[in-house]
Amino acid sequence: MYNGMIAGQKVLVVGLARSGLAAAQSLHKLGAQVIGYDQKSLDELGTAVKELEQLDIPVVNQLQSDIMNESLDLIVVSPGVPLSLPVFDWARSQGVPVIGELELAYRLKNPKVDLLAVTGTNGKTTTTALLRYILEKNGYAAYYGGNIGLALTNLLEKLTEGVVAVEVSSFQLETVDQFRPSICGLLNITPDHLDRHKTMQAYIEAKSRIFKQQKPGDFAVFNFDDPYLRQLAEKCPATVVYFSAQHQLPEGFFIDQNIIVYRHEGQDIQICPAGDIRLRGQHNLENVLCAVAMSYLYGARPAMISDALKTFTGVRHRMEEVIYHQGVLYVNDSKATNPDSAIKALQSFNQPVVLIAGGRNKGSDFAEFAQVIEERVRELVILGEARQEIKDAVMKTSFRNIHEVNDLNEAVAVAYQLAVAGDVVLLSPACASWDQFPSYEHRGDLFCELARSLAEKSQD
Amino acid sequence: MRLRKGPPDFILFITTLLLIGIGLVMVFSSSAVTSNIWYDDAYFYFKRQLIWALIGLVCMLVVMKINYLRIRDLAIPLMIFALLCLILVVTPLGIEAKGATRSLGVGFLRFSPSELAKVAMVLFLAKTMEVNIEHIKSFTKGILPYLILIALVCGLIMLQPDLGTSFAIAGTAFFMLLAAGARWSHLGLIAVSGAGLVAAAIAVAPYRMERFIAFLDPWKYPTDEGFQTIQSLYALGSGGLFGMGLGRSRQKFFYLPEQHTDFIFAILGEELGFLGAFLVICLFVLFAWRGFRIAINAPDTFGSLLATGLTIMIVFQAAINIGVVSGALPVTGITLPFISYGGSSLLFTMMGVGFLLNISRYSTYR
Repeated sequence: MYNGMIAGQKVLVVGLARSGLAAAQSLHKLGAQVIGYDQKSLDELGTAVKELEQLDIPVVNQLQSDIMNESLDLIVVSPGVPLSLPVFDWARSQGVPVIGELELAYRLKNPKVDLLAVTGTNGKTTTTALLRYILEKNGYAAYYGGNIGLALTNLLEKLTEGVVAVEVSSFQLETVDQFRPSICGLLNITPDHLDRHKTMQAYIEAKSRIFKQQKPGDFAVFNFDDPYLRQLAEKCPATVVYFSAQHQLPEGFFIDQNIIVYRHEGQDIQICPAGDIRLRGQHNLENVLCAVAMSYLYGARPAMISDALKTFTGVRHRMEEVIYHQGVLYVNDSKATNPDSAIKALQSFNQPVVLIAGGRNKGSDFAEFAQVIEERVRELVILGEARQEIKDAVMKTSFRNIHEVNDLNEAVAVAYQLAVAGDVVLLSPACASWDQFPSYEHRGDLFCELARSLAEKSQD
Repeated sequence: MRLRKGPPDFILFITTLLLIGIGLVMVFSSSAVTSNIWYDDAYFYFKRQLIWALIGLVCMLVVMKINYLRIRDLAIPLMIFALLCLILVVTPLGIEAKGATRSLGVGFLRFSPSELAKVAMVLFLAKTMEVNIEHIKSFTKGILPYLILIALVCGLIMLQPDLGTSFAIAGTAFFMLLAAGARWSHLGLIAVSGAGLVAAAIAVAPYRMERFIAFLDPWKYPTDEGFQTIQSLYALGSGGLFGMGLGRSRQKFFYLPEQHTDFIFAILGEELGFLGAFLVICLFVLFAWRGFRIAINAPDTFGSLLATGLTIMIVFQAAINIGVVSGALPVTGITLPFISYGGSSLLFTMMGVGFLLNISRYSTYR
């Protein structure tokens, strides 16, 4: 629908990291007149500029008046770009629509492609990955969109049919407009422990954008156990379906006598035994129920759901939720071997993060990483060869809660001391593992082992 | 997406109607000669079968409209009722015919409890297996209760006596256990002991033993135990590729006993030839395909098990009947679903199809 309309339009792409770059390329391909904009200097942007220059897309790091005057038709914002930049104030005053990468991807989507979106404070990655896995087991051409793999625009502009499970952060939801998933899932909204009430309201408000454009006949799957979500569900225009890991519901998905059931119009529709679930932990039960509900409502067959649950053990080393211990969630994101994916990881948490980072630098620049650390991290634990580099980058910001350690053992111990209930301890190194480990898998395994042993020790 | 009720499976519906249509024609054709002489009315069996088919059609259409989840609560009462009927039939209340007591009723209204028991058993197994699905791999918790129930039902039916129906019910239950995910080792054990029981049943009753020996070489006993099989083979053989033509069977002139019930397929083969018989087999294969497809695409465990059970119940019985008629299996006295003459059999089978059609309305793949 939108594909045709984009040709000839003048579009400003703000932020030229991975997904901004993807957006610029897609827009160019569709015949738009693209201008790339990033506050960083052309040297800092490096390869991105080269790729855009090959397409004759001008890249600027200052918005001169001549660009501003030639009335823009659309502004596309990359995830991670703060919406407080002056350019957005200007856009608002001029009535230029500002959309995010998610919205752009949605507009480029083929109508035959179904979109299932998952959001929440925690568990998005696991839920989305499981959802995709169940759908694939059912014989659908199922794709994953979100933090792992291709940028969503790149994926959706190519697909002609199939179903895409998308992981959506509240940040991305701030810049959607027409975005309308066939089924959306809302996992949880964790209250901000800093008690910033206004922010919390805005955060909840942003989450509601996932279903704002839905119509009756679409489904919205809500976690019944989350009081914020129950409130939010009242405003939902789609068919609301609850799931609960704690209660038996008069209508919805829950576990009854160790069997996952969907109670619908007074009848219990049995899906499969809860014993099929291989993912451990209470938080994962919510993730599983959400993925089961969404896939079932989409059309997955119980036997195949059962099969999928029996074989899905989570996405290893990628936003892998290892354990909840004393109110702290330990997350293994060892696969994040560059700043870009570590930034993605940080942006997916709304609660304070104790970040463990460092290793061998693969030639990345840590400036942007440092900015995101300043925004989102409470305590930073750094290790490995790149320790000094990261420290130097972070010292250029106002962030000072830096803790240097020698190895991962020490890092986990320090993080454990620093974390308080409600925090996330995140291993997202932004570096390769080769200085201290044979591979990122080994690094991740050790982290999991250390985190679990913390919990075991305190039980004794 | 889920939960938008769609149309029922059209192919299954048409297949069923075709089979019933062929059945009505064949019941008339195969029974006209004998009923004309016995009842002075060539349409005697045909009229009755037609009435049952119409009742069955109404039942099928009604059942098709009822959400199959709602009949789940009927499973236990229906099973108890079926067991009571099975007990009643072996008391003096049962009506004796041809050396066996198989039906209940008064005057014209008769029904065979074992036909009810088949459907009740499938429904009961689907319901209880759903609840027990996580224990199905255990022997004592999962398999044993079913073995006891199967033994009870089959035991009661054996008192009539009716080995064929017992075998059909036990076979259906076996495949439902398989579909529910029972262990192969358990299933193997059941199969072996089942085969042992059938062998014992044959060894114990002299008439079964004779039939069995006759099955091995019917031409050795052409006038007594091998008679039926030989006449059946004559019928199939003289049909050739294209058949003698509809209505032109010779075997139905008192040569082939049970020509409108258990051996109707032989007359069909005689009149319509290999092509006609092959068409009927193809229709049953089509039925099996659609039935299992409905089971696979069913929206829940109960629906899946129910569809599996109903499909197997019908197709398994058809396979045995065709096996008997063509001399590949010993004579057991079992009818060909949809086609053989028999009111309660037709009615319950059509109700089963009604359930299948209902389940198909909730599948997402179309």
